[in-house]
Amino acid sequence: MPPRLAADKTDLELVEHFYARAVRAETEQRRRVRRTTRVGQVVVVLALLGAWWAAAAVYPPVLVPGPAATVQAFFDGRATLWENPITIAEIVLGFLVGSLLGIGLGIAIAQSRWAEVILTPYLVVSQAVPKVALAPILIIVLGYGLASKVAVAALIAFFPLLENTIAGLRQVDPDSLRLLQSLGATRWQIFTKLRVFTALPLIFAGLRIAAVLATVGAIVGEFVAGNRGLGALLVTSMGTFSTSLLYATMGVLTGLACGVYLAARSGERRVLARYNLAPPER
Amino acid sequence: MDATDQVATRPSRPGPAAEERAPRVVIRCQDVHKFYLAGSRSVYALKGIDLEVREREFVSVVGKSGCGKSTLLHCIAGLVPVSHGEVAINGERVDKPGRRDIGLVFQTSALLRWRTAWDNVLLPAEMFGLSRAAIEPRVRQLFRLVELEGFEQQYPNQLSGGMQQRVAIARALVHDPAVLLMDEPFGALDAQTRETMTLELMRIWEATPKTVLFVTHDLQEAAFLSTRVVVMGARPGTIQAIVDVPMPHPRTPDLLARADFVETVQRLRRLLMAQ
Amino acid sequence: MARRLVDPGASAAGAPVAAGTAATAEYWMAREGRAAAARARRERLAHTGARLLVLAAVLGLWQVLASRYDVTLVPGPAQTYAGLRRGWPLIARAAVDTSLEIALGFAAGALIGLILGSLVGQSQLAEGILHPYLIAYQAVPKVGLAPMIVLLLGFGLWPKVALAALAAAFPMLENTMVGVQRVDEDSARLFAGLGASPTQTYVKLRLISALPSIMAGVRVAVVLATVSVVVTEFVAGRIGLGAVMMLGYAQLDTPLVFAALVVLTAVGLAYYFAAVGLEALVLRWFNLIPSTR
Repeated sequence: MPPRLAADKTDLELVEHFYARAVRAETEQRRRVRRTTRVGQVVVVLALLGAWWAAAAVYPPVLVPGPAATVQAFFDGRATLWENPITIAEIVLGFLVGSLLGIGLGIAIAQSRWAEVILTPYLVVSQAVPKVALAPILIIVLGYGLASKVAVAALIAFFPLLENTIAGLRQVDPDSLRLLQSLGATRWQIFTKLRVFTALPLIFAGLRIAAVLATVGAIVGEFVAGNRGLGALLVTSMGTFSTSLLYATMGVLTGLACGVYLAARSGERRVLARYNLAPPER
Repeated sequence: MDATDQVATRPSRPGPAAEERAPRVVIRCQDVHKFYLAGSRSVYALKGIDLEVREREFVSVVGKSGCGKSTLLHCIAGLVPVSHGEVAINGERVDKPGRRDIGLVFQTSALLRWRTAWDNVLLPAEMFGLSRAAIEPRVRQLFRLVELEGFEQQYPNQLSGGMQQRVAIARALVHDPAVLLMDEPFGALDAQTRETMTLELMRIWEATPKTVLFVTHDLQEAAFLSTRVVVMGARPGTIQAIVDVPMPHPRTPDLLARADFVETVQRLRRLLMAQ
Repeated sequence: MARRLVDPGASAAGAPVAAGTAATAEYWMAREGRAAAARARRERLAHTGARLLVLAAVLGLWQVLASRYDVTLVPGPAQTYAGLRRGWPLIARAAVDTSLEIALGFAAGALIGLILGSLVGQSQLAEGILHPYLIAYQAVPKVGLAPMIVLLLGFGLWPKVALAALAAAFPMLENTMVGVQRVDEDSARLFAGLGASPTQTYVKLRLISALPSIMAGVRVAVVLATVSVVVTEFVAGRIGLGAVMMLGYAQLDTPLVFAALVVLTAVGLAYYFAAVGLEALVLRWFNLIPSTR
């Protein structure tokens, strides 16, 4: 029979023995996972680039410009691409208007049981209605300028935020509510001291969604109106078959969208961490 | 039964019978250590565990929360690997889960919501590739044994907690394992149901010749059901003592009031308090 | 809805009541139950009435606004209906096209999302590798790809299907991935203890317990597919209700635009409710409806 491990060692020595082994094994594994992950991510990027390059080689440049041509077009078209940062303005304004409306209305509706009951089916139904379809009408009514695109962006961004606000304000822990009531808190106090905080995670998730949707709204508005902005540029370059400009604009748009999303997400993280509301990591 | 089975390990021997007539060892843990890292903490869950469970024994493992009793069960089941030492069941080493001679019962019944009680009990048969035709009479018999005849077509959410655990027990028995490993199976039940289920389990065990390892935090439950009670201490998890409960089986509820039984439970309590 | 059954092993609670009082108690309980049911019915009726009132008010307001302002900008319900009748053959054909695009796009995207989600959900490594790309995929509005896809696939059916598939795949992927991972510990241990292979565990445990999450993903995917189809039709503008809207928009034929919008709304709603119905059906079949115990 093999000798017992604990026979000649103290507890501390045993812990050290196992700890050293466990830590070594774990760091080893972690390093391996990190390495494989990095390699995998690089492989994915290379594969995508490779596929793009291959497609460009197979198809005529008027259909699929290669990476090189796109970069070239990006520099050539710098003036056009950046002369109107109007798309950014549309997104930001649309997001602000939509958020204020969504949160404001959400608070108002959550306060009134009747309003909530009556409006809920309409909200559910509006989930299914493609609000982008309202773009042509809004442009007809509000014209080709900034206002219509902001309206489209705000309209699309506002609904999910409204729902999240209502849901967040509703999901109050009943025991906390009873506690505050027993302390004689007024409705306003309950709102500011309790509901706001339980609603915050959902509201910020809604804001993140609203940011992405405001981008969608601005782009779709520009598709339809087709006069200024990155979306309009996409449509016109499609029409004139200036594909490398199209791809370059896509690149800029992707960068913009990622920027918007990351800004929203970091804002969310920051605020939630400040109030210790961040969900625990998986 | 060969000579190595006679090796007495720590404290108790299973009864005053002569060593040569002692039943064979079914579960054997030799110098088992389990150490793992949980995030930034390190947990020395088991240290130097030596345990022998013989055929037809009902052994309970008690201890304060976090003393490693569940970890011990998982190691014996092969669900987690040991850091040192060896676990053997029926003479064969345990190094991975999926042994046919083990049946598992958890604290949450872990019944599949989308299957009827009948189909849930059939699950091990499916996994182990046993023929449906051969197993079905056995399933029917098991439903009778756990007194759930007539409830075969109910879904888990239609059954009470106690009934769910009975289905879980039937499921653990369907492939006729030699060993039953139970991890606080009554922990999630209310006090009344727990009492009922303890008596039920006693009856079921007496009707079937299984070896049982039973983890619980309830000392009275442990003493009532078992032939021996293993008392574990925490950090690191070790076996503090093994207490014999020599009262004869079958046991009835009036045992609970008997002086010798009460004294045994007190002894267990004192051992736990002393930690 | 199934009733909770009482454990036959447990002792009966309470002593038996004398026959007379038992009958009276039952009588009062039945009356109370009926009164409560009647109250609930009245409340539901009041709610429905209020909702219809709101709908009527909105329609009325629309009509009033339309009659006060220039009709070419904002047609009222009456003009919209007239536009619908006028353009019916065009709109009907477009509705069929759009519906087909949504169905095909959703089906393709859902399938891809399910398969990829299952694969990624089983592998921590795959999830780690794809994580940043999935975030980028979520952040970038796929509608922006419409012009590019139209250029590649033409002005017909396929660019819409392709974009709808791209849009629908993400929520399906994410929800499948999350659902497959989120299995309760003891069930996972049970399967491990029974020596189940990863495939067995996947098919018999993970996939089925992921169904609620997957069905929620279906709902989202259907809506996204619809939106993508509409936007692509705006850009490609040859077939579909979006194209009809663009036609009306270009000719300032606002009643046509509104009429197409109404039909489009109906199509979108139909698909959404189909998804909701499918969800209810699947969850009922697998008994996965969360019960209030």
